[in-house]
Amino acid sequence: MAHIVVLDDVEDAAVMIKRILERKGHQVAVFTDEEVALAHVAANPVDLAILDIKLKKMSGVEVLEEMRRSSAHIKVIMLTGYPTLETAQESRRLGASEYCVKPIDRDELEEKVAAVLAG
Amino acid sequence: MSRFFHLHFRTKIELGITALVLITALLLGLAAGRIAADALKLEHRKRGLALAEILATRAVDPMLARDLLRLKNIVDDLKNLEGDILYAFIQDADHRVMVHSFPGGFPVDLLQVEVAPEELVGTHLLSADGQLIDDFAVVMTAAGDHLGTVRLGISRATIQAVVSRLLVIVAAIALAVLILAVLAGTWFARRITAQLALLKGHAEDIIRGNLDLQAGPVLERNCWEIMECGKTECPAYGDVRRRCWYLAGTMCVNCQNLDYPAKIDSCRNCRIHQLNRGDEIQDLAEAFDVMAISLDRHIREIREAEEALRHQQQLMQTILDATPDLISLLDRELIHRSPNRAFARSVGLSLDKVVGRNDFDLFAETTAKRRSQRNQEVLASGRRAELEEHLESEDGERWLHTVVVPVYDTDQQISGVLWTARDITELRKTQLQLIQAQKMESLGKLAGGVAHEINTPLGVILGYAQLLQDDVEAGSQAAEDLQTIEKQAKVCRKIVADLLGFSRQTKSSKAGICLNNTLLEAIALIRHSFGMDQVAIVVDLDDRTLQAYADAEKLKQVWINLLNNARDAMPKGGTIGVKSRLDSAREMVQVWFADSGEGISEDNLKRIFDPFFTTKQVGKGTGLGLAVSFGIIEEHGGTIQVESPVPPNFTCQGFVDLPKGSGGTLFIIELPYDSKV
Repeated sequence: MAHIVVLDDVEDAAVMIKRILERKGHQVAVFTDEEVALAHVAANPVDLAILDIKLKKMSGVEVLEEMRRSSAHIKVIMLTGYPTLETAQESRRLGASEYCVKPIDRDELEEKVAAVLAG
Repeated sequence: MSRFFHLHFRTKIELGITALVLITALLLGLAAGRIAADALKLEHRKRGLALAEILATRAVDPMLARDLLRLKNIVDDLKNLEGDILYAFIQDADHRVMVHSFPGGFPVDLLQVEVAPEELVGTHLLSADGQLIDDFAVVMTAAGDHLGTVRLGISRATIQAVVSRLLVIVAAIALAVLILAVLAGTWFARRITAQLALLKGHAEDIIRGNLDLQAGPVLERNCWEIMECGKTECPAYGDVRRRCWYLAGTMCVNCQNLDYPAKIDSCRNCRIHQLNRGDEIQDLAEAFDVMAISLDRHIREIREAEEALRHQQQLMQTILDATPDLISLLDRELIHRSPNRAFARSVGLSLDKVVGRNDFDLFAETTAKRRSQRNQEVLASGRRAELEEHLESEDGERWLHTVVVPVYDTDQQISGVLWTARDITELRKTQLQLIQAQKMESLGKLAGGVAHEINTPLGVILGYAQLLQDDVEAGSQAAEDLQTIEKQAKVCRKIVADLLGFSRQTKSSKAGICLNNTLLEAIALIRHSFGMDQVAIVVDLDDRTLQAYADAEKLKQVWINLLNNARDAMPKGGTIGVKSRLDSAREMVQVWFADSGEGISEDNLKRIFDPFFTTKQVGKGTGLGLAVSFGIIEEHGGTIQVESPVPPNFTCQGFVDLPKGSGGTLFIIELPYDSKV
């Protein structure tokens, strides 16, 4: 079981991910606000963060960069409904483990989460 | 008289001199002969009278003494004194003949010649036996009494012989003078006419085109030698053929910096002129030499100018012929006078066939009328006219950007118009493509934005549909309904993915690739499934490596899009031809995709690259494949065009020969060739 954080500006989307991953036995915390999410990560041990790239105040990449400062070993999967090569490259550069394109398929999500946690 | 004028100048001089000398000799000879004859006659008369007076004096005494014998002796002595004394006789006061010298009796006729009694002396000219005789009569007087008359007859034969001899001598002298004069005249005439003949010969040489000649004599000392001048830059220095006084710009101190012809007056007083000048004919010959050299120089200059002009004309014609623009010069009557090759080619005639024709001879009536009207307006107003013309013909539509400008002559009068036209059909097409691209870009942005917003709710729907399937009984109605929601959500996901692909502004991962490899890889992917649909793919690729700097995956996406479209256009099966070639001249790589389907209607052709445009059934296609392909090719700096039906001149090894206009679709893609790859 892993401790996972999901950050998406659309709460329904985040909750849906939470529901999927909870069925796999993970402990999932959902956030729609970047600062709250960052504070949670700073205060709690988190294994994996699933970050939407398009957020309310910051971009997912900036959140990733910030998270790395407080939790160097956290694993990250980026989400976007508008994938670009630049975003993918930047995410990879900042240490994102995986990259998922919305709308996410349940099987794909489960596989990638399992792979990232295993790696 | 006209014959005289046709004679040679030398003959005229000779005839003139001969005539003058002949007339002079005749007049002088006649006058001299006459004077001499008159003098002789006078002397002859004086002699006769003297002899008669001597006879009269001697006969006075015997007359008084009536001594007839003595009288007879005196008469005979006198008669015998000179051979030319033909007779002598003495008459008494009563005119009776006292004595006479006639041996055969006194001729009675002689008594008929009366001597006037009041005249003491007298002469008469008598004619007897064919000869002239002067009869002299002297009256004998003694103490005032009239004693008688002495008569003496002297023949004129002697004196006539002398006169004749004199005339012969005068004539001989005149003849000799005449001959000498003719000889001198001939020499003189020949000397003059020889120089004139030389000038004439040179004039004929000039007519024949030979200007390298010299009529004037070679001087013993030239001007620079006389003046001991060292000004080699002077035009007269070293010029042995032309006299310095005929040259402009000479630098001699005597020339006073004057230019010809003002300097010629100054030169006449110059020492060089006085030393080197000749007679009028030599002057003429020297002037002739100057004229010939000047003429030669002028002709050379004219020839050089002509050559330069010809060169310029050739250059101009080369430029005009090299340009793809249509150019023609028309005169005021709007007749084509100077078209270029492109213009002649555009009307399907040779250059010489276009010259002399008007627009109505060369173009359709509506076109000719429109152009003629505009040309007339330019002729009338002198203002430039510019217009874009749209022409339609069997070969397709064409756009021409035409410019008409007035042409002025040296008097600043409009002498015609220069008509030029540039084919902007390709530019028009590019403009249309640009508009299309802009339209697609706008649509792409819109589609991208919408897709992004839909993605999240779609993800939630899909996720919950999948999640809820765990919570319902397998095989139940709810499970089937949830599967339907999941399936349709995935269809939506595919549409959204296509939309995003279409609108994506990502940088491609370009690298040096071989275009043929991408084609072969794309074909390998679909060949099997196409075969199942009875669609064959024939490949005719350029043997060379078609290098390009491109994103191989994106290009393969384009190829697969085009191949799928071709397959969909042939539901009953058919052939797809794929061909590639390198256009070295344009440094472009060309790829053709041809199918043997039914083809695309003209209306649909215009919209085929529009996003969401599709002729496929609902659910079969999103209408984004060609739009995405268009975007990818454009991103690579290339072009993509479509033609339907397949043009008859299209060839592809192994591709079916489609009957002309029977259908089929041809996609033509051009990408920049990158030789550095």
